[in-house]
Amino acid sequence: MFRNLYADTRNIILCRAFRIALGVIAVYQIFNFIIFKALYVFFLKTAMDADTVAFTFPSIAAFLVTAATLFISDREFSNGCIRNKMISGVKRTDAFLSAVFGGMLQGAIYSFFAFCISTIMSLAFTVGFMDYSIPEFANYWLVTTMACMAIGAFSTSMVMSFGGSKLSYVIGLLLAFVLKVTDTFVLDKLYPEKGYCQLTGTKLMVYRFIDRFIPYSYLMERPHYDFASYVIGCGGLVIISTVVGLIIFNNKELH
Amino acid sequence: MTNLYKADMKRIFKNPIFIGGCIIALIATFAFTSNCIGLTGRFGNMEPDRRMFFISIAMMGFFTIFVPLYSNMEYRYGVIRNKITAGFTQKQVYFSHLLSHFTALAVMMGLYLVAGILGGARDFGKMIPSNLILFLALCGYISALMLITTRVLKIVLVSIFAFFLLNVIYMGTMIGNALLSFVLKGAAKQVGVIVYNMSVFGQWFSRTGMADDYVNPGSLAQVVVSSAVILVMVFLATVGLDKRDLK
Repeated sequence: MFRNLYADTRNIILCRAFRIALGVIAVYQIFNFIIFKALYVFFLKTAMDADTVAFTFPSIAAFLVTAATLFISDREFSNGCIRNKMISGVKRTDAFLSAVFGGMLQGAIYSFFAFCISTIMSLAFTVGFMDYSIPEFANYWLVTTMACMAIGAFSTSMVMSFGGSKLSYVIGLLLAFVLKVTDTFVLDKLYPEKGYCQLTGTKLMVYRFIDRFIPYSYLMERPHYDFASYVIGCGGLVIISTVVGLIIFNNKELH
Repeated sequence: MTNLYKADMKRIFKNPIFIGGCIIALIATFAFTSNCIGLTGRFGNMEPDRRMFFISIAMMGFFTIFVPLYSNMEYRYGVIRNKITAGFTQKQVYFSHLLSHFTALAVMMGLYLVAGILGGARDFGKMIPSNLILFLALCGYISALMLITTRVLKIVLVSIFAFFLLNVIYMGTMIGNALLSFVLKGAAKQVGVIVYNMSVFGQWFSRTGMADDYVNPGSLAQVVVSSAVILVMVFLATVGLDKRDLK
């Protein structure tokens, strides 16, 4: 189990796609910073606050984590690694859990890397936070990291469950996009810019559930629920995707 | 070339993803247009024609999945090598796929129109030009997806780039709305409107009635922009294509 876990982790860290993903995070955040700086200098003509540039990563986090985990986990099937593991005596459950752990690890590393860049930019090039205290800033990044880990686990579980079929290439990315669009709609209904929320009954409960317990929506808005809700949402997604994925993976035929 | 096109069409009409997509297009368009699912609020208050046009953007999502998965089969199972051995060029293979995707889109749009009319859409004066413009914009989007599929051969990368394009277009339209409303003025705004209309999502959004009037530069301008996008994408996909080595 641990030998396989070590090999998978090493494989992820040395993978070129992993480094490209880190590069994308850095370039995206710096690009955003330059665009906002230009807007503040040329159009708004005021000093830029840290709130504007500190949380740009969450807007690409779901797609990036899903794409990176898809690319790295898919190699298990496209290169025949999974069959070699089975031949070498690794149990299916161990191989699956190791892959899911790798997905969570990737989510955590990407988020931590984004946090480091964001903190440096916020401290060095802005006038400081206007709406966030340090604990709120830390809480936002903690929730983002947890959400990225849950998405990483979910995406990897999908690839392992549907690996080898065409479905595995699109389902995770499609879900990430659909949930992003859905969350935009849900947030607009729950927290309208004008007036008050007009939802009632079941619809309100469903919208609140999405907002409170689906980790994809944690990346759309600053944390506004108690921390336990975020732990339940992320933990729930990890447990459900692991259990369901394990059942499918243990029964599927590997090509 | 004609034989390749016919073979592609035969495969597309047997493809379960395409058949499923057509069935969903038919059912979803009818359900949304006739409002038999009991939509309330913004969608409930819309006229059937507007509801019908609103659901049309689902075709963009469908082709994001279908084009990479279908066209990448050429490279996954060595199909393209067989075609080249049979005397066809890579450009002919590309154009046969492009045209067959355009035809698949036309078939799906035909079903969407039938379902919309059955669902209660009756304003043919608006429906036909709007959908023709949307068809051309979707052709531009398919051309962009074909560029990715032709240039990137690894299926997992093709899927990632296809969804990246979808995300960029979605985010770009949202950011474009804010920029056009609050930041861009004068000539910069005119350029911004053209860039905004380069994507199918932008053109669709400008015709849903939810965007400000100035984001729609007019039917002729949208047709010209979509045609330019198709031409540029086809050029980028085909330049030097016949000289490419295949593994």
